[in-house]
Amino acid sequence: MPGSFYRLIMKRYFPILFLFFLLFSCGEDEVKKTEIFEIRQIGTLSTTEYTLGKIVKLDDEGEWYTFGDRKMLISCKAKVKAGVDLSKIKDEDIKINGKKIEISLPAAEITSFDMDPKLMKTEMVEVTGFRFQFTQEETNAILKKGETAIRKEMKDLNILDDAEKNATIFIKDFYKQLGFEEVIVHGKQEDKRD
Amino acid sequence: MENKRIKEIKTLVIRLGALAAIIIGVIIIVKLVKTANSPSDTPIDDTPLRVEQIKAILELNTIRFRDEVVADSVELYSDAGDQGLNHFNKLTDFNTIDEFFKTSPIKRRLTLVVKGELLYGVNLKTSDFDINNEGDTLIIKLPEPELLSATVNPSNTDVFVENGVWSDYARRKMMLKAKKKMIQNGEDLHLPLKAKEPLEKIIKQLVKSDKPMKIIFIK
Repeated sequence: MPGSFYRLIMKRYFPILFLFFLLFSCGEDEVKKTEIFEIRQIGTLSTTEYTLGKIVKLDDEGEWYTFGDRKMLISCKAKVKAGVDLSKIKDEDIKINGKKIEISLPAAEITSFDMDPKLMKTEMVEVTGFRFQFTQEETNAILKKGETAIRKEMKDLNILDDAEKNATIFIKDFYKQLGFEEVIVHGKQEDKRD
Repeated sequence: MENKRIKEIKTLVIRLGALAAIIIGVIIIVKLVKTANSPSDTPIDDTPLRVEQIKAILELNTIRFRDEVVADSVELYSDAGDQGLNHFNKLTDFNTIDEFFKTSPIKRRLTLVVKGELLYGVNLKTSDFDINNEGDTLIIKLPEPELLSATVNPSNTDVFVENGVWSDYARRKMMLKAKKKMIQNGEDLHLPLKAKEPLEKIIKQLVKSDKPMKIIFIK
């Protein structure tokens, strides 16, 4: 009798259980192929390239209830280019008086920032106790923090001053080749930069 | 007879309840341990920034191309035997434990959504850049526009799907694959060619000369 009862239960509820199993087993996420692109006309003159190096160091001691810790060291490099946006030069920024030309340059800015995956290297990983290994999502999150730190710290470097200096040299040479005898270039003061 | 049936139903309900409680308990423990292990709030240590090289360059960028591509890497079980054998390995790692309950033929998968930027223009450091006066005409010789930089950064990279265990090398390789895809997209759109028009515009804006001007691109 109990056997036939279980058979009855299984007969009635098996489709529901099967549906439940199917629902929870189809967990593979669909990959949405998105191809968004944007093409813009610009006019930036990059004049300085800095190669910066940083060791991204993470010491994850975890919470009081986790046993063990996780450490990771990644060395990475960033190539930063800076220059001036020549398309921002307006007509009133260029004053010509015979063989003399006076030009006001726009403020120097970062034109490109590249943390090349080829130049990233995981130097050390240590996981102890009951802690998990680092997933790639976590590693990428750590690198994002490294990138933010580099972007923040590079503001203390002279990269924008160098870019402005080199842009001034180029502009002077350019107008001298055009036949001007006196070329005066005005840069943007540091406090007027973005 | 009726009492026996009620008793059996009660036993079944209690057993199912206990089973559900165990499953929910395991799920809560896994989630708790996962949350505790997540380094999202752990700040990185303050390490110095080294300036390794300073270079004077001269690149006039005239086209900025922003793109988003998907880089996907999938490894399937070779057969049912392989699936049966290796599927249980997912139970040995907390990161993959919840994948055990998915009856997918995929052994492991890593999918990245990568946004990047390509800059096209001319490198004026080359000897192809020259300005000359030929009679009344101003001749400006410029090198052919090319790809000057292709950037793919961690801040614009998202791990969309991660099943199984993947090495850092594999992720980096996929980021490079995404970069190559973007460069290919740029070439398909003939961007080096499109970089010429804004280049001529910028040069004309800078020169401000009444003389007729001719821009020649040197291949």
